[in-house]
Amino acid sequence: MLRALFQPITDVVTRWVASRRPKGRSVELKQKNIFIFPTVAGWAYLTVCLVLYLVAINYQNNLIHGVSFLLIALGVLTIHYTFFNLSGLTVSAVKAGHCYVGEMAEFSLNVEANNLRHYENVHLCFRGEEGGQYFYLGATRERRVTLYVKARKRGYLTPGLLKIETVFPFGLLRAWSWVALDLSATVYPKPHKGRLPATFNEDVDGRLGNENKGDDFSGLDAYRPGTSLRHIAWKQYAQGRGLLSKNYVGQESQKIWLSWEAWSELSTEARLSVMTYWARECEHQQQEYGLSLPHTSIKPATGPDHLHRVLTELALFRAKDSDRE
Amino acid sequence: MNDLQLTRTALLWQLLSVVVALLPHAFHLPNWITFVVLLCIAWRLMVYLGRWSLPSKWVKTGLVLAAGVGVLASYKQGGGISITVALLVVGFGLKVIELYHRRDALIVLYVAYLVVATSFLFSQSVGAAVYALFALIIVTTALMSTNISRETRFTYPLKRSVLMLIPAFPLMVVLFIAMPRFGPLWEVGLDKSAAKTGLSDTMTPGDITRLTRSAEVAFRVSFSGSVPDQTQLYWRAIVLNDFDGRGWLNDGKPLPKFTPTKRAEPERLFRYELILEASQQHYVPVLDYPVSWPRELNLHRDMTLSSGTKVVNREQYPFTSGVVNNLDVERELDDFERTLYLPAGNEKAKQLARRWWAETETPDGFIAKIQQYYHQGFHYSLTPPPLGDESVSDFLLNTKTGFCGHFASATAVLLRAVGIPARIVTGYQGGEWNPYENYFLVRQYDAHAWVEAWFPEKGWVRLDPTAWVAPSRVEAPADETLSTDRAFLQDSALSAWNISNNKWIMQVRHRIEALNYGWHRWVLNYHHQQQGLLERLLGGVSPFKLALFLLLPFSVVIAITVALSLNARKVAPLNPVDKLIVRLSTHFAKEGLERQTGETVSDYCDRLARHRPDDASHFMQISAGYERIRHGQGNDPELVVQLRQAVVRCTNARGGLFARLCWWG
Repeated sequence: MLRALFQPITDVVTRWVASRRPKGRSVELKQKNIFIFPTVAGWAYLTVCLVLYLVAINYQNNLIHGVSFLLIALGVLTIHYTFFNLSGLTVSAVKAGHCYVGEMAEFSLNVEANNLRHYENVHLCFRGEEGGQYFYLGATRERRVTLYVKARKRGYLTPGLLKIETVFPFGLLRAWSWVALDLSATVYPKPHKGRLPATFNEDVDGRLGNENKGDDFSGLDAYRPGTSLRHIAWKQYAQGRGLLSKNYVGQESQKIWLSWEAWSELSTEARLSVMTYWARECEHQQQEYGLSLPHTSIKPATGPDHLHRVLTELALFRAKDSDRE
Repeated sequence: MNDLQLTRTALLWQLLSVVVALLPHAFHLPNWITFVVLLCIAWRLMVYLGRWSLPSKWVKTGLVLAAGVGVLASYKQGGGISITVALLVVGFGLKVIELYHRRDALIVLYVAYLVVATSFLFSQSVGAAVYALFALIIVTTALMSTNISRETRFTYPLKRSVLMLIPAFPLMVVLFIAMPRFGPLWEVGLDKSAAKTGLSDTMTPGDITRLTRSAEVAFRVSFSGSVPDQTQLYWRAIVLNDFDGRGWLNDGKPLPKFTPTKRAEPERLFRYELILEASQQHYVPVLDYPVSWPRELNLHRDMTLSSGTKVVNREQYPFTSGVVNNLDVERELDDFERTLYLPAGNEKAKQLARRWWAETETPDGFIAKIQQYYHQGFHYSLTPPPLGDESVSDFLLNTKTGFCGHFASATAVLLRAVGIPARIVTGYQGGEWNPYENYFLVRQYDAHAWVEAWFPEKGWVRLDPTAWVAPSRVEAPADETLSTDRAFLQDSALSAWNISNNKWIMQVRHRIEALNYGWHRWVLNYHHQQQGLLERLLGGVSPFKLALFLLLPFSVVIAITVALSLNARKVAPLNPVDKLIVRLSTHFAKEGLERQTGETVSDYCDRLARHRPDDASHFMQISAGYERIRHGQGNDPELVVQLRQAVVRCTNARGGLFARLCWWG
C-alpha cells in the first residue's frame, strides 16, 4: 500500500539518479555526479558542537564560544574538503581479467587526477561486492586499482555499478558517486577432468595425441601475434633479427577435435566443464586442438589467443542473450 | 567503515591527543585520575609495542566500576561541572585501553574536544587559550589520522589538518563577533571551595590588613574621555552605618532599591567601564555619584551599587559618575538615628571630642581640630600594635599607629560624639595607571576606608583622615607608598616582581598587564562590547545587516578556499618519466613515428620495435621499465636512471659526447 503510494516518487528519484550517473569507459567526477551527505560521525560532531555552545551560553564563557565556533567553521569547510577529495578524478576501465567459475574476476581500473591536489583515502567498490580498495593520489597523479568480483556463473560478467566514495578528511561527511563502467570479464566454465574423448588417447608419459609426433624444424616465419611462446625463435631475436616463429613439419596432422558429441552422456554444463579441462590440457601440452560445437567450430591451433577463443565459445555457449551484452 | 582498524600512525596521534587534552585538567583533578589515565595510555603504548596484550573484558569492567566509584567518592561534597569533567576525563582515559577500531577513536576524540573546551571553565588566561588552540590542532589531526587507511609519515596528518584549519579561523572570528550572545539557559555555578579575598560587609580594624597584603586584581577601569585625578579616585563599595563599640557593620535588613528623587547633576561627569573580577560578593565599587549604571545593578540610598546575585564571573559594567566631594542626597530618618548612635564605651574619646567642640563650636573648626591632632605623633602602619577593649580611645590616646581603618573608625566616633552624623565607607582608592592601554588597574591592596559626615547644606561630605596622616597613600599608588612596609605583599609570591622599581621591569609588567586587559575586555568579556562594536561596524544593528555580516565573510573565505583548490587544476608538470617518453616521441616524429593519442607506452614501443628492428631490444627495455615505474609504488630512482639511459641510446644511436652529457641531464 505504502510502497504503491511512494512508487511514483521512487521512480522519479531513481530516474534522476540514473540520469546523473555517468557511463562509459572513462568518467570524470564533477559537481554533477557527486553526492554528499553527513555520516553518523558527522551528526555526532554536530552534537558535540551544540553541547559546547550550550556550555558556553550557560557559563557565559566566550572562549568556549570560540571553540564551538571554530569547530562549526571547520565542519562547514569540511563539506568542501570532502567534495574536493573526489571531484576532478577520472575513473577509466582498463581491462577485465578472464577467469573460471568460482574464481575472482579481476577488473583493472585507472584513476587519474586532472589537477595537482592530493587525494587521500578514496574507496572503490562494486555494488553488492565486499571489500573494495582504498587508493590515494599524491605526487603521482595516476594509479592503477584492481578490484575483484566473484565469478558465479559462466558467460560475460558485468560488475555492478562502481561506487567511488570518500569520508576524508574528518569522516564527517561522505561524498560518493555511482559510475557505470563499460567493462566486463569473460567467465569460463569451471574445468572438470572427465574421460578422454574417444578420438585420441593418452600415452605413457601423459602426452596426448597420435603416435606420429612430427616436430621436424622446417624454417622461420614472421612472427604473428598469438603464436605460442614456445615457437618463438629466441636465438634469432637475441641476435637482433626481430621476432620470428619456428615452423615444424607435421603439425598439421596432429589435430584434436573437442567435439560436443564426444560426451553425449553428460549434461550441458558438465560437458562444457570437461571440454574446458581438455582444452587447457591440450594448450598446456602444445597439442593443436579444435572446437566443434553445434552451430560453431574453431579450427585446430594452439596459443593463448586460440585458447581464449575456444574458452570464450564454451563460456558463451547457450548463455542467455542478456549475458552477452 | 567504522570498524576499520586504526593504523599505527593514527594510534599514536590518538594517544598524543589524550595526553594533550588531559594536561590542563591535571591541575584541578584529583591526582589519582591523572595517574589512571596515564596508566591507560602506557598500557595501550605497551600493546602498540607488542609487549603486553589488550586487557580482558573482566579487567576492563573492573576498571570502569572502580573509576566510577572513585570519582563519586572524590567529589562527595562538590558536584556540578567539576564532577562532569572528571567523569569525562576518566571515561576517555579508560576508552584508550580498548582503542583499536576507528569507532573507538571517534568516541575518544569527540570527548577530547569537550575536555579541551571545558578547560576554559577553570582558566581563561591567554596562556590557557594558546594551549587549548594547540590541543585542538592535535585532536583535529588525530581525527584526520583515523580517516587515512594507509601508513603515512607521522607528521603527514598534522600538515594537512593545519592547512585545513587555517581557513576556519577567520570564520570563527566572524562568528565570534557577530553571533548574538544569549543569557544562561539555566542556573549553573562553578563550585569554588575557597572564597576569594575581598571587602567584607563588616570592618573591625585589622581586617583590612589582610586585604592590603594581596596583590590580586580587584577590578580594572577604562575611562572614555577625561580621566580624573589619582586623588579623586574613591571607589565606593560598602557603606557601614552601625558601630558596635569596636567594629563597623550594617545591622538589619539589606537596603532597598532606591531611585533618587533629588537629582543634582554633578558638574564633572566621567564615563568609564569597570571590569570587576569574581568577588563572590554582591557589592560593585563605583566612583562617587553614579548617574547611569547597568540595569542589572541596584542603587541604594547610600549611593552604592550592588548586583542581585553574587559576582561569580568576571563582569563588565559601563558607568557614568560625577566626581564630587559631597553626595547631596536626602537623608531618611532612620539613617539619622543610626549615623548618630554610639554605644557605651570609649568614654575618653568622647570626652576629647566634646572638649574640642567646646573650643571650636563649628563643624569646620572641629574637623580642623581633628586633623591637627592627627598631625601630632600619629603614624601610618600596616602592622599596628593590638588595641584594647576601648579600641578607639586606645588608638587615639595610646598607640597612635594604624592604617586607614583605624583612622576612619576613630574619626567617625569623634564626629558622632558631638552630634555630627558620620558613617564609614569602604572601597578602593586610586589604582595603577597603565599607559599602554589607558586604564586603571585596582588591586586588593588598594582597598581603603574613609568617613562621610553629613552637613545640612552639603549632604554627605567625604573625609579621608588617612590622607591627613599619610598624604602619599592617596596621591601615589599604594604599591609606591607601601613598598617599604615589610607587611606589604608578604603573602604574594610575586612580591619581588611587583614592587620592583626597575624601570624596564615596570615597563614589561605594564605591557603584559595591558595585553591581559585587552584580553579581558575584548575576548573574555566580549559580550559587553558586542553591541557597541557591531553598531560602530555596521552603523546600527538589524537582523538583515547581521545576517549579511555573517554570510559575507563566510562566502568570501569559502570562495577563497574553493579557488585555491581549483587553482590546483592547472595541468601538472610532467614527471621525469613522462618527459622521457615525450622526448622519445619527438625524436621519432621526424621519421613519422610519433606517439598517437591514446596509444599506451608499451603499444608505442612495440610499434617502434617493428619499424626499427635494430633497436628493438632498447624499445622493449623502455616499455618494460616504464611499466615497472608506473605501476609500482612511486619512482625508484635507479629504474628512472636505467630508463633514461635506454631512451638516450635510442635517440642518439650514434652515441657521442652529447649523448653522454644527456645521460646526466
